[in-house]
Amino acid sequence: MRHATIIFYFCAALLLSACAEEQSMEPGQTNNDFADTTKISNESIFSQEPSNQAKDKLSNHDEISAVKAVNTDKNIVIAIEVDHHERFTLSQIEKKYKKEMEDKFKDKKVEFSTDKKIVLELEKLEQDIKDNTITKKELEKELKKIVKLSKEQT
Amino acid sequence: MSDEKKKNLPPEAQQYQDFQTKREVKRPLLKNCLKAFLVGGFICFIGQIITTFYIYNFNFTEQTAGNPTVATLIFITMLLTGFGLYDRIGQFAGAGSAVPVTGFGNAVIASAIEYRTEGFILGVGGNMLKLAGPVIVYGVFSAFVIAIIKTILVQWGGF
Repeated sequence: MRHATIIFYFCAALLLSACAEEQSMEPGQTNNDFADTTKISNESIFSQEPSNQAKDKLSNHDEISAVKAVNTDKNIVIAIEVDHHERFTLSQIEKKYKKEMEDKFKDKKVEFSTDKKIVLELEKLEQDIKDNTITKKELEKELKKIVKLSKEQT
Repeated sequence: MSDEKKKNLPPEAQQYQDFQTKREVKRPLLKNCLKAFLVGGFICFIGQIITTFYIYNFNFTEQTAGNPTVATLIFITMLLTGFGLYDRIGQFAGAGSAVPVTGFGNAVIASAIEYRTEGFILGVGGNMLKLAGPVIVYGVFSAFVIAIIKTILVQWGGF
């Protein structure tokens, strides 16, 4: 009887921990297609060309699963999501890509984040730009709010 | 008990010791570890759900959502302790229910309830942190030691 309970717990533990390594990819094959990005363009506000460039560049990397970016004439805010098992080295990844983006956009102030909240907020903003439901001033204000949010400390 | 101490005991006591070790119920160590792992993990899972809830519905980032999550978990623990349910969970899971922040909350709230009869100042106020006090003291102390080690490594070790 006792053995049965031990085996039960062991199986339960196995079941709960088993499905971690399912992402075995063929060599050479990248998951670019799955990187969640939407290119946006709306010339009536600010040209989102720099943001689209950033998305193109970042989604080439395997470990990035989603890129959101919005820019004004002076600022660009980029948020990425990384694959779950890469989160162990999240701070290194953030540092690396932040530097890459700062080198690429020397004329703009780059804000870089890996935070889920920033991803969500930028997604909302991208949708607004796409639907043309936001003015230049509002966009600047929203972006300022997001930057402030990303700087908040506990 | 070590052998040296055992030699100093009278023979009857030694006999009793042998008798006792033979009859002692063995603790199911592996089973207890697994129970603690599963229940502790489940509590953390609930915490993660609450964190995600705060990120999606309120103005919190991953960084700042930790504070309201801890507050919510302790609030839930308060209710569970008051209704006597957390004792049952603790009995079943052991360390799994004591190590997460809910265990700390339980230790504070349980003693607050227990000493209610002795009044609010000397009873509740004086005894509330009886169990949780050591946690705070050694938590702060070990944080201090770790900070010193880190400082030494970063400043002179060049890591």
